[in-house]
Amino acid sequence: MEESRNLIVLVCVSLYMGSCVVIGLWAMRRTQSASDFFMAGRDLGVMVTAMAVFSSTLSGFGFVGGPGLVYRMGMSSVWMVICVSIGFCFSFYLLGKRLRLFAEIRKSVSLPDVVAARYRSELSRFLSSIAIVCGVMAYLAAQIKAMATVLQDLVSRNSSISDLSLEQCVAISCAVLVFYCVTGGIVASVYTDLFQGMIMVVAAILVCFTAAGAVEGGFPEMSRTIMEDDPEAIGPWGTLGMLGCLSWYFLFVLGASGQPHIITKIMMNRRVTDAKYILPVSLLGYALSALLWISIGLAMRTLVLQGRHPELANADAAAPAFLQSYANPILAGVVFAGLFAAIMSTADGFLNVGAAAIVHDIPRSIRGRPLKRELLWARVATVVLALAAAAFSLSSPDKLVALLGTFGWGTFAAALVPVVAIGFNWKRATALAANVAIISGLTINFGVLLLKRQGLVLPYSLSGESVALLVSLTLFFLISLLSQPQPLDPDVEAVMEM
Amino acid sequence: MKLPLLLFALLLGMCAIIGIALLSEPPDNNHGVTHPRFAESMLHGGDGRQRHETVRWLGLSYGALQIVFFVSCLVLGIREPSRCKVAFVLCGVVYLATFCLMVVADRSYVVSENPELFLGFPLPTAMMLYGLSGAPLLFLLIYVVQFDRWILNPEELQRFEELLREKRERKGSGQ
Repeated sequence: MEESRNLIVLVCVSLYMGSCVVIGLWAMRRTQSASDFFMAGRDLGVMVTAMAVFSSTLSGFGFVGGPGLVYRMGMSSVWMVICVSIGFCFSFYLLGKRLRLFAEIRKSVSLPDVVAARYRSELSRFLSSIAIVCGVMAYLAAQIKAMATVLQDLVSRNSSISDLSLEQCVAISCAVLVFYCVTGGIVASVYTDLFQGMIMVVAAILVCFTAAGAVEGGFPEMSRTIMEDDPEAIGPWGTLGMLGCLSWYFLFVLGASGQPHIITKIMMNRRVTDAKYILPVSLLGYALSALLWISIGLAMRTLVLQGRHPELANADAAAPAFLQSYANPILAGVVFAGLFAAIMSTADGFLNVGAAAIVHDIPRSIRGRPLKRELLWARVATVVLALAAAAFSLSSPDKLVALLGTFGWGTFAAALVPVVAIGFNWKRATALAANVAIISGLTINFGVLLLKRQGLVLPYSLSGESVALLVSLTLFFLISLLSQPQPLDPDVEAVMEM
Repeated sequence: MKLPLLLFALLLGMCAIIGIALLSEPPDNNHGVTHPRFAESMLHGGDGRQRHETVRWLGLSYGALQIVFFVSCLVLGIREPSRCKVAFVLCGVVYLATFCLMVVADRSYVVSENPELFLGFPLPTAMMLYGLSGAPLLFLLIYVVQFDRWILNPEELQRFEELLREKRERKGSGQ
């Protein structure tokens, strides 16, 4: 079986991609209108919504970049995982009820729709759409880069097709993604999410056992080996240090409630009361899947330190290298399918919210009405967005998938958390404060990115994205407290009082 | 103190901490150094005592303010915060205490010659992995169990459905 390893893995990945295409074709029949395309007719059950929420949260950033970060920095990046329990609670307490009620009462098909209704401001709609498009570009680029990195690694091990370039791998992975997103819209996206979520959970559990078996003595031995080499790496702060880890904690706890591809899923469930079941199911799914993040990273660092595996060329290679070298070929096939599932389940959400911003919200905020033939234009926008993000991913100088992902996450967090998570629960929040928060979040985030490219590193590895979020939140409160409260539309006010 | 004012004060506290961190002179290995043997792909933490001693109090305050902020924000999503104050304060204290104990355990860990493992990891790491990720599950429990009382009760849901019906009727009659 070992000699057919590459073939088995490629067959598993091909089967998985084929299944996504089939789901896309099936979903096309259920997609008759723009509302179906963007909101799945607001008719999703508990299981589908829960799996869509968690699989959209855990992306290529988590499945490829995460193990790479643990390998590189030790326990530092685990702060991005452990934050999920309070992060999911934060999102559901603040948005599980409110966002769903707003969406239903206003028949909203996108997050900026709800923002415009809450603040009675087309400028807020426009700015939140721009923030979404910017974040989508960065985050989608991270997903595409992750997909291409894994695919290239896979095919490079097969002698007959070993000369596929990164560009060709980007093209192949984008083609499948775009196909099911264009044909089936969000219906295809959430049903592939369900399928992808199940694969991710199974794959992560199996990998955790494999990782424990790859190092004699299991996790305690991994801890001892890493501790002998560098006690800080296996300490709670990893190599990054205390303040750096806490800045990530802040960013990732609050950030989840600003990720449009995640929170729009909360607008799609059939009943608002389903939120109480969706929260535990999605949290459990995430926690199980995150086992892969930690176990592969620790196992690879240990194996390299013990001299049983050569040093990796770059940290992102940790997951593919582990699977190719230590996992049973069939398990490797399932996990590689799981890797693609993690990446594509997030990317399809981005394509959906990005397309909604481009064809629904930006035209509405400028012309006062949506485009004619919105469904057709949504499909066109999906293709254009995917191509633009692919080009961005190929031209981006950022080497690590996870860091590009952190930037995308940070863009959404800094621009949208104050406006959405706080503003939807605080009647005194004003449109001016919302607009300033979005602009400051975007400006600081991009400013820090540009400075990073000039070689700037914040002291203590503080995350620039978390600083942007902190500033935008503070400005949001300050301006809301100083400015005159605005009257709300009666239906919006009624929902905010519930 | 009103909740939004408390949240604003907490944010100002965090801004002050970040400001101090940005303006202070960090130690040489404040965010890890290149690994001496595997320079291509790994980082090394260096001396934990040296790099954390001057900022431990800053980190402790930053983390504590964050936790109070998160828990206070959760209360924003509650219908009648006064009715569930005790539950949130108790769960918040557990969460905060877990974090503080982890920081204290880490202080002992960095000076320990031969640290013991607990559930496969050094004690402070185990407290981070199991304790800090586990403590917020109390809030999950509250959400699931008390959803119909503290988040959205059946009367409100009925009121919402009436609101929807009125909107539909107004739309139907062309108003």
